[in-house]
Amino acid sequence: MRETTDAEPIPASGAAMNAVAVFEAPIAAPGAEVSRPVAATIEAFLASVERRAWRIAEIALHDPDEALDAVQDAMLRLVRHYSGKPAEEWPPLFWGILRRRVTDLQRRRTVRNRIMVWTGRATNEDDEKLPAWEAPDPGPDPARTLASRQAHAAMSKAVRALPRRQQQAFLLRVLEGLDVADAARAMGCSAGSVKTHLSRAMDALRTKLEDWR
Amino acid sequence: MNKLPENAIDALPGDVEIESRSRAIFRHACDNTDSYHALRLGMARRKAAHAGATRVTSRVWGPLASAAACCALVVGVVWMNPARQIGPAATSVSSTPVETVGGTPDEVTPEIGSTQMEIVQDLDFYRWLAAQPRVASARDRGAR
Repeated sequence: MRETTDAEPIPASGAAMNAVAVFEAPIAAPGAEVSRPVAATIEAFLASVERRAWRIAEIALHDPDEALDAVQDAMLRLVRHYSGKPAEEWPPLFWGILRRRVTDLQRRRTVRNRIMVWTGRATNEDDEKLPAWEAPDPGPDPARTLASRQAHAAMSKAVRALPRRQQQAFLLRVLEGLDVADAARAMGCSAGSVKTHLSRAMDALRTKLEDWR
Repeated sequence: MNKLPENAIDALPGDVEIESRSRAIFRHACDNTDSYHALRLGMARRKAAHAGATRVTSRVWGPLASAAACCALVVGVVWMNPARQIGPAATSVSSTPVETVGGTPDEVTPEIGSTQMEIVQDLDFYRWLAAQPRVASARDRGAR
């Protein structure tokens, strides 16, 4: 099994390198963390992280409102308990709080679904909901926007299908760009476990990338 | 054309492509967050920041207010019981009822319950207080 490390570059497969169809995103170095400036105040930090946090919670929970509640709760807890900490420690603390909150909600939903099964009122979570009203898209290219939404939905579905720890490792390391040490702090495990979970997540996602294109 | 197994493996995307594709999709989704949820996120952030400011304020003023309340309570207790300070020195009274052998009936500590223990402890004060009106009334009579 391949393992993602911080220092060693992973050889990329050449066959699929021309597959960036929707976005012309630059190919980042493997395992490269997204370097972000240290926020001066905790409100500035929350402002910089709020959208990513909501999107990550939404991917994990598959419910935008529950994701919003989780992010709000994480913000409150961070400010109440850790605003006195140095700014460098806010990212792992915040993501750790959000991870625990998301896990709580996932477990609660599992229990609720079991009860619903017993009572015979279970519903399929993947059922298509009625389309919600959306504001008219002012963007210049609706086809591109639609493609990006479909790609995001496909990626979210693939990530949700991962086991929980692999899912967390992928979300924190790849999407949020935390380094191994911060991801380990946020996940409450060792750096080696983070690498193992991420490697397994990558293996599982590799076969599903076609859906994202 | 036969394909070697390693070629089949190479056809799968590598970690680099997975990371870059997923980051690009994720970044695009974050940048295009709908205005409703962006507004609610901003409100949540301001609420959290406000809660933190309130907590800092209460952290400073809370102990001070508690200390002031304790001081006020002590002053109030002392203020409300000045007679204990100006009255005759209270003799320590045993909490267990003791009957003095051979004493006068007034000096016999009665059998009491625990609820009346305070009255017994302040018995000397009440005796002193009972003596006061006679003196005061005698002064009044003398003045007339």
